[in-house]
Amino acid sequence: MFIHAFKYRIKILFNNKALLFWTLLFPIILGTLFQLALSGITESEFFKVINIAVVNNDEYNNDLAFKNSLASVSDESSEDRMFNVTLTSTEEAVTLLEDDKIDAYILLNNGINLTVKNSGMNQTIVKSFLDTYSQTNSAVINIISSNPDSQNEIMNSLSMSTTHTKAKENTSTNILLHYFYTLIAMACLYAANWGSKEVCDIQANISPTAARLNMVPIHKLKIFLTNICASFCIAFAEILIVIAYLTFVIKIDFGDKIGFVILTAFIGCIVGITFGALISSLSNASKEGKTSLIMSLTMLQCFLAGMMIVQIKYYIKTTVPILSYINPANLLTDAFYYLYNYSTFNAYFTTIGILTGFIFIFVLISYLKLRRQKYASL
Amino acid sequence: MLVYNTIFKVMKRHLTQIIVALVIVIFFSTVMSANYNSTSKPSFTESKVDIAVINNDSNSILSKGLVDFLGEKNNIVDIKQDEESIQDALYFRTITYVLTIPEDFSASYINGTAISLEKATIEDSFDSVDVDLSIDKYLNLYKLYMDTTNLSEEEIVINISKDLNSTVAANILNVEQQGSGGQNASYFFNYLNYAILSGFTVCIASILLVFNKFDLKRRNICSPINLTKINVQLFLGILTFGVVSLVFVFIIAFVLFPSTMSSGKGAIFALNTFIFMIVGMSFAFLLGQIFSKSDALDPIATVVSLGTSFIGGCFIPIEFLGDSVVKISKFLPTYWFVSSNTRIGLLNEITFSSLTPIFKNMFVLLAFAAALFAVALVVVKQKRQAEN
Repeated sequence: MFIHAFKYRIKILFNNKALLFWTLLFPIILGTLFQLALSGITESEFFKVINIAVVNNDEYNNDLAFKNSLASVSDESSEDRMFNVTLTSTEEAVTLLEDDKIDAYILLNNGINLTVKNSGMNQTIVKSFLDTYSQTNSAVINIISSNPDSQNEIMNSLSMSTTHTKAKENTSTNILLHYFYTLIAMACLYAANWGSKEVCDIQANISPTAARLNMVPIHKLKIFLTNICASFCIAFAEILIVIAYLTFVIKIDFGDKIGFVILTAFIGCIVGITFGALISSLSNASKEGKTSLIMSLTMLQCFLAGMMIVQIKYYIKTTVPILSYINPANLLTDAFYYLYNYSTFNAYFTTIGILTGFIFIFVLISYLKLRRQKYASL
Repeated sequence: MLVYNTIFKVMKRHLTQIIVALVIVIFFSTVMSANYNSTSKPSFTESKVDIAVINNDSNSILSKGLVDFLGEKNNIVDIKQDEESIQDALYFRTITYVLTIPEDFSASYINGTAISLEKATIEDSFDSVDVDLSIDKYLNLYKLYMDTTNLSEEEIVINISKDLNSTVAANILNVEQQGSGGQNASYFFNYLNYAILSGFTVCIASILLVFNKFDLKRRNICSPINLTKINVQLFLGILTFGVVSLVFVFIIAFVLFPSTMSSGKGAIFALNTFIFMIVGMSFAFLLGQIFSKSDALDPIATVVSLGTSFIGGCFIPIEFLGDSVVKISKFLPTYWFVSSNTRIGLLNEITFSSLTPIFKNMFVLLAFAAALFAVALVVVKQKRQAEN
């Protein structure tokens, strides 16, 4: 009996093209768009060689120290190259700057003069370089004035200048991942549409199928559980397809704990379905009304979890922490984040625990609401 | 005016959709313009990096001097110092550089057995290069004094802070006043791509869908109103809707950016948006011909509006998109619409030569509209032949 009903339920659900689109194709399309649009964003954070111009005048040509210093950071073969220097006349430098071909030009006229078009990171780095040069100069003059014989020592010391910082390992800062975490959270919560459909299909005032079903001499809970099982199988299969697509086609790295990633998706799917059942049993709207309610609630959750603006999530976490604990989308995102970035499992299991709690609450409320519903007339 | 009135009855059903799209536009364009507000200022301001410092060597004068110097150049943010909080803060870019000074750093630095400072940062980013430069500068200056003089720790730190005052002045190139506030309006109009394609287009398409229903169409054809009249009323109804939407959008734009919108730029923004709406209408016409059920409209409209917004430069500015993505996006009308908006926002003065590139973009948009319309006509013809 169960297998028979289950098989036909799956067939019926597969006929619902619109739902299949929203729960399967839409996350895949959105993931592809994220990848296309965001791959450039992390690149824009990276340091790129800065184009600058130096006005080629007598003062520049006579200032060997400055020339050498500039040459040392604009050497094409060096890994630490910072600047791409063009030698020009003043007029040409102005034109280059106006046309955004360079970020700044340097003019030596009774000291160093820097001209830029606007303030920005590149301009700051050019200024920082020139400041360093002039500050070192000031120090050298200071030392020589008190100890005129120290020239060799100064040259030695300056040539020994080194870098003093070392990066700590194991810090992951790839913010791009976050968008995909929220995407999977969204896909999981879209399973709510399946859950809602199942509830609609046993509420006789919502769908004609349900009206017919209410007259069948089988316990409603039995049918409902069979149907929910079918819905869950489809929803979970869809999530697995989405995760497989993200991992193998878009090449998102979910870390090495793939078993736990799938466990999270599994829990997420159940949260989604029970959330849909809850909304559907509480709201008296029509099928379409329920669908749009679910869609907008999911979008709101994803927005608060940082799907559109990542910093929103951090802002909420630090200012209204309670809001981040009652938002399933945020909890799911967190779970993926903890799996990838934290070495311990404490935070992860706490999150999964809260999600499981949500499942029980959702199920309990929907059950209390749906049980023993009677219709005066069908 | 039966047909004309029916149009607005159908439209009422989609009112929420349009309002939601507009609210999204207003919300995001306000957030975006707040983010990018500080781009052009009359004087040079150095970019500051948000950093955190964990000083385990706080008793030494050298470490203290270094931290003070970093604090002057950057914003030092207080964060919790456990590993997970640091990870969170770096990940969400609340800070972009965490410097840890080991316990006996200055003692070993002075002895010459230097141990490295630990940093956690976004590798190879501007911010990390900038802070690294500052740290190296300070420590190299310290070493210079240490190697060549017999000054005490305090004296060296005082000398360095004097040297650090010797900075280079930065001048801003004297270009004409950059179009003030125009960029913020550009963001608003860029976001309209999403609103027009997800709200406006769907609305028009669903009206056409209703009138294209097989039985309804046949019934209309044999009704006493002649076909031309029906079509004219249909056209007028959609035009009314377009004009009302445009006016509504402009009232919002005017409230948000009063100074930009009352200048000549406002008129060019209006023209550009109107032309993009024509593209939207052609697209709606095509959708209305292809589909016979409104179920399919939402998915298509969502994919098209989100897709073009993501890769056409509307949600994410074109300069942040990868080169290959920009190449693809040139095949989308959104790219040309967004590119015009950006240009209009940056206009210094309205002359024929400064407007030429904008007019070229408008021409491309009209070509897109014509192409979509032509495809729709082909579909109409094929459908009519199939029906007979």
